[in-house]
Amino acid sequence: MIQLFKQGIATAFIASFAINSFAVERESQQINDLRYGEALYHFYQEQYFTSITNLMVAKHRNPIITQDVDPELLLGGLYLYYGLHQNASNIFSGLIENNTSEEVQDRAWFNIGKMRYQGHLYSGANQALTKVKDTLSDEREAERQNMLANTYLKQKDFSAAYESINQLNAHQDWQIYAKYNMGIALIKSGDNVEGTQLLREISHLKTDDDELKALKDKTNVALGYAYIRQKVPKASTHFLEKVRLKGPLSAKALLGIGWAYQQQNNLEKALIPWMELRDWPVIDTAVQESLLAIPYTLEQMGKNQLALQHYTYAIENYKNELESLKDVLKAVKGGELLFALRPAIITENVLATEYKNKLPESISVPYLHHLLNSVDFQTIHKNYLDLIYLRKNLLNWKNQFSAYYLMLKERSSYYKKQQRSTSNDSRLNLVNSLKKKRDQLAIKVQKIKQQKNIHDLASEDEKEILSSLSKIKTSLTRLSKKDDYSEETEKYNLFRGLMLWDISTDYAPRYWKVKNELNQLDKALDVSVKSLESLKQSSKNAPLAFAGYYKRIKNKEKTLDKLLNKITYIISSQEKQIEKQALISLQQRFRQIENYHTRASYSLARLYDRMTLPAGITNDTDKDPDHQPSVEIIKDAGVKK
Amino acid sequence: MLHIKFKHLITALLFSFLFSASYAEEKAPALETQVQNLKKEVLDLNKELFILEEDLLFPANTQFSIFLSMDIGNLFELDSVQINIDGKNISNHLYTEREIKALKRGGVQRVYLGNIASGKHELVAFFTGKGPSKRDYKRGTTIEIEKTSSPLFVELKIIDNLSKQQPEFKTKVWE
Repeated sequence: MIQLFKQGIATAFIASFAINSFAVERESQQINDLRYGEALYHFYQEQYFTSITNLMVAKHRNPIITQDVDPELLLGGLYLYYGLHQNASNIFSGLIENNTSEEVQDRAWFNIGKMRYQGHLYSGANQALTKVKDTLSDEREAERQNMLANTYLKQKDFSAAYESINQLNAHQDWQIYAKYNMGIALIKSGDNVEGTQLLREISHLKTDDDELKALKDKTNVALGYAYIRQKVPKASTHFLEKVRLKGPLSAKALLGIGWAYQQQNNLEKALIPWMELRDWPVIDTAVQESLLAIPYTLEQMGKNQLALQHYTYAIENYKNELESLKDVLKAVKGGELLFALRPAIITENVLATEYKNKLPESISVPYLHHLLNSVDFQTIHKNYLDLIYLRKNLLNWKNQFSAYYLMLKERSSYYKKQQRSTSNDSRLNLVNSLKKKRDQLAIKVQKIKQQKNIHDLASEDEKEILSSLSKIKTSLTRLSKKDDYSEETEKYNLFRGLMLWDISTDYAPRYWKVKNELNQLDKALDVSVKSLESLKQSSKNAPLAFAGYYKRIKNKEKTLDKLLNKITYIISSQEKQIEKQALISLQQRFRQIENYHTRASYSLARLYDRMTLPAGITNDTDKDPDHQPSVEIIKDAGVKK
Repeated sequence: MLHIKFKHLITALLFSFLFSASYAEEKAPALETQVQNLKKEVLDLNKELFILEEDLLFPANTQFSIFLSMDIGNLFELDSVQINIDGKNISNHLYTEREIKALKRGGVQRVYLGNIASGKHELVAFFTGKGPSKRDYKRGTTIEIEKTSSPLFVELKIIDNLSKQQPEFKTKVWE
């Protein structure tokens, strides 16, 4: 996120909208809910849309409660990434109001502050950021101090800003950028001494880091032009000469060196850097200005003939450049820029990959780098890309609907077929007859218990023996009338007694076993009854479920169609906005070159006049009163409001 | 005189141009708000459609998901995973560097989402990659699972056993 604060320094097309720094504090955390883990899996792959969907679905079905506030913080961060500030704000405010730990409160205030900061609400951002206590990680604390410093700068509270910058001692990278911002702010407010002092510190930095080298160039150019404005040309050249010749600011530095020598009346030396710029591409505004500065200086040196040639050369180049700009304006109006800004392949992490640090191929882009590098434009562009992806997502869903309808139709017809064969199945009645048998058995068991009827607890073998004994008893009774069978009767009594003794002493376990088997039967019957009921319920509910699904799909399809229309309309509005901004920027450029062209033409005419007038006679148009570094160039250098 | 009038006209035009530009800037927040609201509406609808699709295609009584996670993951460089259910292959996944990084940072991947009949099943997962000392490494893990009327979630975990200096492959059934 450091990128967002390198105001005016970005050479990359899209500043990183990375959200890792505010969405997930702790990595390798214990995963207690697979759904949160899944959201993290996509989040870490910069698939923010899938991640946000996972979290929203989880929240809807069954909120994740075993991960503390991490899912909420992640969702808040993702909302923030998608520019849904209101939703993000609701989450973070909720966390603050819910009496959460100091650490969570700090993170919530930090995110609210950052959100306001990105929305240019500096006073509100300052309020939120100052509520943070001391639980933030070092890196995040540095980011907070940097934002705080910038909010103080916006409010022109330089001493408070300086205090915040001093808190960044352990984070040199943040501190350097903060010092740069403060130096520029001080110069703009008129405090040249303090401002240039801060910028000088950056200028004297020794570094191998490309980003810092770019910042040093920017600083040296700012210092150079600040000194030109203060009419301290020697100091100006000292800093401008430190700018790298192969950097993006070299033309501006060479132009400034020329102006610095001109201020010292060293016209010969002023011409050297400008003549160098003469053959550079005219698209650069510094080159455009040098084309006019050369003949003007030659004129001052009395080299009128040479000046004429250079005015003519400048006019020719301005004409060509105006023609090129007309083509670019036409191309932008024809959608060329939008085509370049649209991703070739639309994926959910297109912003994170395709446009990172890369300018799209286009004839208009080289004329618009200031606009394209501005944070505001990048926000609009990000929204545009987001919407293009979201529309693609909606179209994907739309394509699914026919499959859903077909699936429902197939399921419904299969169900009807199954229902016909199931309703005729004789097994459906079996459960009822089994239930009756079970009830009879239960009555018998109850009877055994009440009557202590041990005979009913006898096994099949025992029942057979008892039956045989009963027959023997009948025979013995009949035979005893004719003879003496007392010995056999005694044996019979002994056997019967033994048998009954065995059964009666075993009564308790036998009764328990019967009771247990009855319970198991009850359970099995219960399952069968439930299955039967479920089957009946399903038969009853299935048509309703099909109708319910049909209704749900239909409703969603309707909503989707509405949203598709809306999104198409908003995308078109965004395209118009992008085009409008580009056209405004190009027209400003056009007017600037037109101005140069007019001045060159005027000077040429004036010079011709002078050269044709008799010696000693001058006219009142003999001077070009405007000739000094243009306001745009000084603005570009960052030292003018 | 004409020249001055022309100049005034240009100035007036310029002012009207500037005014229209600043008016457009004032209007910009309205579009910004529209974009914000629209994004939320799309995200909400996307959630609803996701739920609808899940209900329709993977009802709770047959829904079955397999997840994969890593704990540390330094002793095993995962290349691919193959998952079989009751001897039938249901999923193969080859990992990208980006996915491995996401897993190592604590992300959990849903490797499979499908339907399965109620009852007992055998799940076998094969992990292929580079083990300690960068040697080719292939291991399998088996688990018996039982599907009830609730959705079934199984997690395959790759864990570094630091005492044995070997990777371990564990499974967990989530309630």
